[in-house]
Amino acid sequence: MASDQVATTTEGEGHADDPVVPAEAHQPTIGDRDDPLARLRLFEPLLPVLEAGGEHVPVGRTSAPEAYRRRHSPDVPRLAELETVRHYHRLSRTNFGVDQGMYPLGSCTMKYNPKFAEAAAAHPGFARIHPYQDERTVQGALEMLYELQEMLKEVVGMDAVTLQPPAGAAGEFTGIRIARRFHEANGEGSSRTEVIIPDTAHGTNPATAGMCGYKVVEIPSTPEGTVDLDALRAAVGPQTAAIMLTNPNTLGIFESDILAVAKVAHQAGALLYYDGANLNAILGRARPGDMGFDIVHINTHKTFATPHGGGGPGAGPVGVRARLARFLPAPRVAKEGETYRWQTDDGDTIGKVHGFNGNFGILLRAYVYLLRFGSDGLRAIGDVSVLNANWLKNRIKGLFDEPHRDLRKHEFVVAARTLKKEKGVRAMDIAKRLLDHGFMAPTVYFPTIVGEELMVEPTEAEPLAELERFARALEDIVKEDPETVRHAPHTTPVGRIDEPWAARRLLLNWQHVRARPDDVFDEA
Amino acid sequence: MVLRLGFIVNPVAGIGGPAAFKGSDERALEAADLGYLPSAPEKAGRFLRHLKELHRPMSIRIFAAPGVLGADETRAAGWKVGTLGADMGLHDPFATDAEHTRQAAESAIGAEMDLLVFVGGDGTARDVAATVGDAVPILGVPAGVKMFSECFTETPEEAALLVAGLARGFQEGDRLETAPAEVLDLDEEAYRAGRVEVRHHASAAIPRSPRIQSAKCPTCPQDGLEEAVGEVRLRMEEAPEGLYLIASGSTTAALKSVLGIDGTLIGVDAVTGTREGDKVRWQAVATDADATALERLVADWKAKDAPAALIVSPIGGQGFVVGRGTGQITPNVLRAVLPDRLWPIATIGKLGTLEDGILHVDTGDPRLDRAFPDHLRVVVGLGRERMMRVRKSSPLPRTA
Repeated sequence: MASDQVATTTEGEGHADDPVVPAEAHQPTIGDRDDPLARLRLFEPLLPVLEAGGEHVPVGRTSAPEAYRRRHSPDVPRLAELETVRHYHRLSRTNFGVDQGMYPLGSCTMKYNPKFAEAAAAHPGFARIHPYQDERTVQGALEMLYELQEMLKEVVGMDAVTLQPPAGAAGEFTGIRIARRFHEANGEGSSRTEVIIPDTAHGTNPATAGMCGYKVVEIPSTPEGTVDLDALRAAVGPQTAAIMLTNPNTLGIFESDILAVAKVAHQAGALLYYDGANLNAILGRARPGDMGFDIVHINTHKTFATPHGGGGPGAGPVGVRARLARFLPAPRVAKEGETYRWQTDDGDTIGKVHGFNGNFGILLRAYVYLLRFGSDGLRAIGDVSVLNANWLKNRIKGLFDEPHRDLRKHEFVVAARTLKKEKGVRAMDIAKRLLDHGFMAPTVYFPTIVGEELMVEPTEAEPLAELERFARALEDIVKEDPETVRHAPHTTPVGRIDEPWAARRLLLNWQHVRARPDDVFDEA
Repeated sequence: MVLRLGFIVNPVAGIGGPAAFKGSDERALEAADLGYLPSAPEKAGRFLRHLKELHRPMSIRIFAAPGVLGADETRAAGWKVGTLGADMGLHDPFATDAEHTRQAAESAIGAEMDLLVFVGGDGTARDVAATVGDAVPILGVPAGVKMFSECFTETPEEAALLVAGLARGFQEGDRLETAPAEVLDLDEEAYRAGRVEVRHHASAAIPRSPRIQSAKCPTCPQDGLEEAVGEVRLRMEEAPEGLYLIASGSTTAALKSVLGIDGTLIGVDAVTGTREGDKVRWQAVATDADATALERLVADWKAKDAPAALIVSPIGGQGFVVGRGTGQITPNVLRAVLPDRLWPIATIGKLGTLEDGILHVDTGDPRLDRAFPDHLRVVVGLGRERMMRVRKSSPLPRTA
């Protein structure tokens, strides 16, 4: 009972009186500051630039046509350059990323983004080309894309690949649209109305199926944490369009019945879809194509260490079997003799899923990563990610409940059910307290089939010493005064936000941020 | 060597179910006048006959309450009967009441029974538990209208399996290993205030066994209820001319309210619609219908060649889709809607309260229990279903 009350308490006020909190945490944000005198310092010279639409022309002597000139000063706070730099620097310190510390956010595979890939992406030969350039002038870039297509085909065991989808979720959407087009081409477009998804699936899977117009049928997991084959057989029928699976699944367990699952799908005329979210764990050891999958999406950020898009640029290439290749988005890069070109003559294509041809800079980083590690390196990456997860799981044995089978792949789920019962400390409290120790929290309350879950994925990049430090932090948290844990974090600008409020009343643009949220929304 | 088994039958238990009463004790005669029969004697017989086949000779001795309170059925099943309490000369089931149950239970304490098995529902469980407390472990053979308490097995055959197992290896002077259990019944105050809730009425000791059903959870997480209800409504709108039987509970109450139907709180309402432009107007063709009415409605719609569907919500914590508080939904009604037009509806949160994520059925007809689908598709959201396993471990009774 007590723990429930804690869970609903909102502490959005920060901890102004707490000496542990860094002073910078409580400075007003830049949107709340305005200093008219800043013009007298360093900001003024920048204004004419803005007013002239980017041309560095002094005020009053702009060559920009009248119609394009700014009538008012830009609605940004008036601050000197120094204060502006400090603002961004402060923001970067209150942010958290893999470059700062361990980020064991299970299922999200928060890999370190190696700097050699950044360096390659910054190369002017790649950074300063434009998608509208004549093919003959960007042969190197097209060669890179073509080779990436070939390498990805090899990694996942598929016959054709598109690089166009700009994110993992977009890859899913592309893949299921291909499935839909395939069934339509077979005259079964209206009879196949359902997509089957296990309850361990990522939330994007049902969302994808829904966006593609399918009904979703969820399959429960067995007590061992794998797909319930009997339930799957009962659910599959002539109405099934596809089965979407992640393997290993989000519990970090390899679906060992995968060949039987593929058989069930194919006998019913359905397609088997591979969600590439956990591909990192089996790199170089197993390929979705060999498991019987027909369509695969790849999250380049989870597998090939490109930056996580988070709504920005990302890449979610999709691979398919030969019989589905004609439905892939167009264009793809083709090679004719020694020349590379965009091939657009796919009559059965589902069309484009992104402007231009995908996020080139991200694809380039994945390509460089693949070149740097090669096939042996990729296998080592998969192996070490599994080793790290299992070492850590074993290291913290006894601290939490362990709901499933022993051996895991790249991530594991423990549960704080006993801790909740005995000390009133919940998974959320542990996650919050980890922030005070300098770690990002693991994924919590997912997948929702266990209860009080903590889902940990260290990735291959973390050294042993860091895993040990993380394990000790967990030990400390489990032992310490439950009151301290229940009110954590104590060192961050914001403690516990009112999540339902935040989720329902999104502030999506800058002007709203400046206004008081309540005023803005009472108008709506 | 011998397990001393006290045995009490509430001879009118279950009669209120098909009559759509919320219990049997006070309105047994009224239900009988409508032509309904109590299910307790039949369920008692199933338990006793199955136990007779399973148990090792000389491992169980039954002490039954006199006459219609247990001894008659026990004898009819071929058992030798010891008596529990004085013979009150009871031969008319309708002359019995709760006081008789309590007297028999009282005797079980004095006679030092190792286990007291009763045949009834939550009302009977209340009477038994309030009398014996934890002095004698109790076990319920499900035969009542409501069985929300955690002292019942799923079916009479399951109870027989459990008891035979307990008797195996039982030594005289042993005490059965027990677990504390909650005896629940409808919260009458909440019910009068328009809410369906259960209340803790007594505590009891039950044999420690996975064969005993879980208790109904008092309240279930209902996030996403609107979406699940919306999905069912969309399906209904595809064929408004159909017959939709909507069972009770707070989940289905949300559906009734979306459809604009003034239904009953606990009971089955029958609904059909007419298309008016691009809208559908729903109306109740029967509210709080009893078994006869439901069977007749299903037959009427079948004659019209129009679909009939049954919308139920599994009981939170227990997972019963039918068989607990749904006495009016007879095997005939179920046969008419299975397999595609039985539409269970629940939020994901409610399904999360189920032990091992498994659904249960107790249709009243063991053959139908066996023929029930192994999995049901539960509507959990808009365009979203979850496959749920249906447990069917009850052995089929042998025909006599």
